[in-house]
Amino acid sequence: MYKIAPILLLPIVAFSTTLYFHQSGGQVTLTPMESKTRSSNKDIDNYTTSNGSVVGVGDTILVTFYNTKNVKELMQKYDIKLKEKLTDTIYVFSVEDKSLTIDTANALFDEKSVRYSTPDFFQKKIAR
Amino acid sequence: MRYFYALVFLLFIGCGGDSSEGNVNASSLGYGATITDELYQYQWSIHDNDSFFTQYNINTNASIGLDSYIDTYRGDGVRVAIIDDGFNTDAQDLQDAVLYTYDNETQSEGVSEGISSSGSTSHHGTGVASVLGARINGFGMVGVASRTSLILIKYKKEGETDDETIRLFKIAKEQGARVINCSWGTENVPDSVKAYIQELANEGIAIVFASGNGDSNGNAEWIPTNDEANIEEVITVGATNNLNKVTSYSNYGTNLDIVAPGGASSFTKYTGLWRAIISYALSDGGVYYASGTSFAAPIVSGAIALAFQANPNLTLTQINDIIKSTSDHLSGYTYNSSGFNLYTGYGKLNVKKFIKAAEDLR
Repeated sequence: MYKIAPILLLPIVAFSTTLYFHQSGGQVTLTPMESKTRSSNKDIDNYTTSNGSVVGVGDTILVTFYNTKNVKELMQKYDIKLKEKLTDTIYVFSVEDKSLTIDTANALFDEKSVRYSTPDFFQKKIAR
Repeated sequence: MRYFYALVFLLFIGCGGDSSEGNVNASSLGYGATITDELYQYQWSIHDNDSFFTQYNINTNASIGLDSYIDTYRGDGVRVAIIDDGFNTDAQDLQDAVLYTYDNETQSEGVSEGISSSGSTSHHGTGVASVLGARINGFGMVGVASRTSLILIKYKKEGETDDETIRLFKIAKEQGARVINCSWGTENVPDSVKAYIQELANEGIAIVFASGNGDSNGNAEWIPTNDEANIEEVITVGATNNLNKVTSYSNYGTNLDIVAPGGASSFTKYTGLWRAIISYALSDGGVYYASGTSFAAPIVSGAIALAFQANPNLTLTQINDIIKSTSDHLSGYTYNSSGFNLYTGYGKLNVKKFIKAAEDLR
């Protein structure tokens, strides 16, 4: 039993050290930042992306569907709650804990009915 | 802050008592009336004033040539949304201009001026709104589309979630905007936001983005791959200066569509004032000058509003075609067989040709 434990933990560690999200057909790496900000009474974890942006991740996921027939099924499968239906195909879901947001968004991305799925990033608009 | 480049100065130019709020009729003056707005004579970006151009060494082709249609089209009946950092709806030049406002900070109607990162009043959004839609009212400056109806949407200073960004565009659509001006960017537009912007464009809404103002040193760079300005369906606008050249800070790339006056970046407060764009007239005679692609974008958005007035049935495909076929190629730049150059897009906005082409499609 004691020999198995490290083997079981290994994938968890590996999974948590390669944070990324899907964008434009590729993967963008997320690197955690130390500072945290609070917005709308919700904790946000800050990350830098591999393309140099700073983004915050809370407990919501933004999903665009090809079709929405199995939304309820996906909600059960990933233990997510519908926060808002923005359009016929764009939904906002919340997860139990923001530590699950990135992995859940990536798992949803692999579903056939899902076109796009990313953390519902918190980010600044820069005036030009 | 890396890409924020709007340079704003407050300068009192001594308009005198004639421009005090009490003496001015804030309502838009009708077509054909003599334009007496004090600052119009200095607005090299839109208005050809030969003596002024000569005095300040402004290139004779630097403006967009708004004069040719200012007594024919002013954007009547066309709704234009501006998503920006805040707005002063009490600004004298915006009286009668504002149809609807929404503040995402309060998630309700009613907006106020933005706050800059240093904590001072920003004026960015008010400047953008004024460049686009300042009224011809005997006061201050003249907007490109001086009778258009503005939908002013204020984003959150400290940032907001992507679903909120979608909601801001959705509000613009629900309020009937035919043009949405965005003088900002994130450089990290998620696929869902991108898809929604594309969806609106496919519905015929002209979504105009500023191309961006270069790197941390203000030197132009390639428009970032994941920036809103790099979305193909968006109309991306770069900036030219008083010499009718692309400015040193104006971002470029294969998705740059058009350039318009945005003002020079390097100017001193007194000697080079006229290289910048007049962006906001204060009721006490003060004037804000600014430069950046932020202020080139509303010039193009305003011109599109004029085109929609000239031809309400114009499609976005036709607008894109008109941009390609009517923009002026700038001297010193090489254009490919499609008439495209990485730094100017299809060229500089020429209102006379732009509107004529819109009329011809009726």
